[in-house]
Amino acid sequence: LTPSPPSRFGRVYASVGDLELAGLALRGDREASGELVQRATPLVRALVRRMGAQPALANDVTQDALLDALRAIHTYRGEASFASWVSKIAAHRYAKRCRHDARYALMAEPLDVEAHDPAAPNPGEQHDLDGALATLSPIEQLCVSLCHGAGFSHGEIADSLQIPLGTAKSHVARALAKLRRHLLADTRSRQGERS
Amino acid sequence: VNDRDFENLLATEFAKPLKHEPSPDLAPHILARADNGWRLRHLVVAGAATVGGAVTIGMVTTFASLDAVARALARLLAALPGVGIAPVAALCLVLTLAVGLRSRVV
Repeated sequence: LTPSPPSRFGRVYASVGDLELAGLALRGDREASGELVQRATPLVRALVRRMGAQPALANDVTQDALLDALRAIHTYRGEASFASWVSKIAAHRYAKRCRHDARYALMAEPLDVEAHDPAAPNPGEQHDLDGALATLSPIEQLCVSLCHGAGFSHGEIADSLQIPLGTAKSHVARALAKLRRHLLADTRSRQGERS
Repeated sequence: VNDRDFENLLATEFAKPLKHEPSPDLAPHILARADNGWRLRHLVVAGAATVGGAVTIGMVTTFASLDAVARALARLLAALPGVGIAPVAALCLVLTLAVGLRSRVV
């Protein structure tokens, strides 16, 4: 979906699949581990930020999740991309933190949707998901990111946050309705600009 | 846009990196932490093996026979508060089997 960042771990690994890299990492190939980490970091960190973590906390959770993944690399089966696999681990870790310390949700820092990153793709090519997420309450942001970002079921969200299943479903439904309004309005306004 | 299409759109958008916030290069920190964790685990295992080996050698030389070692260990474990009968019984069973096998071999 998105171009991988340029590899620092040797050109030979840039074209190697995640499962093969995991096999090499399991045999102690440090460069293969580095390549896997470099591939997964942007997506894993983006998910944790979208769940509501502050930048420094998102870095910590991403690091811890990637370390967990490298330690458990023998259990990676390649059914999803390595980044998706680590995203689930990171989502579990962040949900656990939120469960134990409600301050994380209260301290959530909205994504900086105004700043311009010159390396970012042309905004016209992307929907403004981050702007739409910023309009949600912290718990709605967390639940919808767990559901549609990390692929958790409603039951898994309820278990990981220790909230009733009905509450998890309501948060996801409310968040989806708000995102739908925001993103589709965004799409319509862009289509209007083009015509 | 129907629900399924919208959910697919969301999944696609979630799979993209942040537009306005570049991701820091965490790879050197993660690899350094992984190396340190590996070293620490090996150090702990090596330390435990050394201590365990030293204690076993010490007990065998002190009590002269595996049978005596079994009885001494059982007494020691039973004396420890909070240790139930099950681990003591399991240990006795294992040591008795070891003694039995040793006597068969010898």
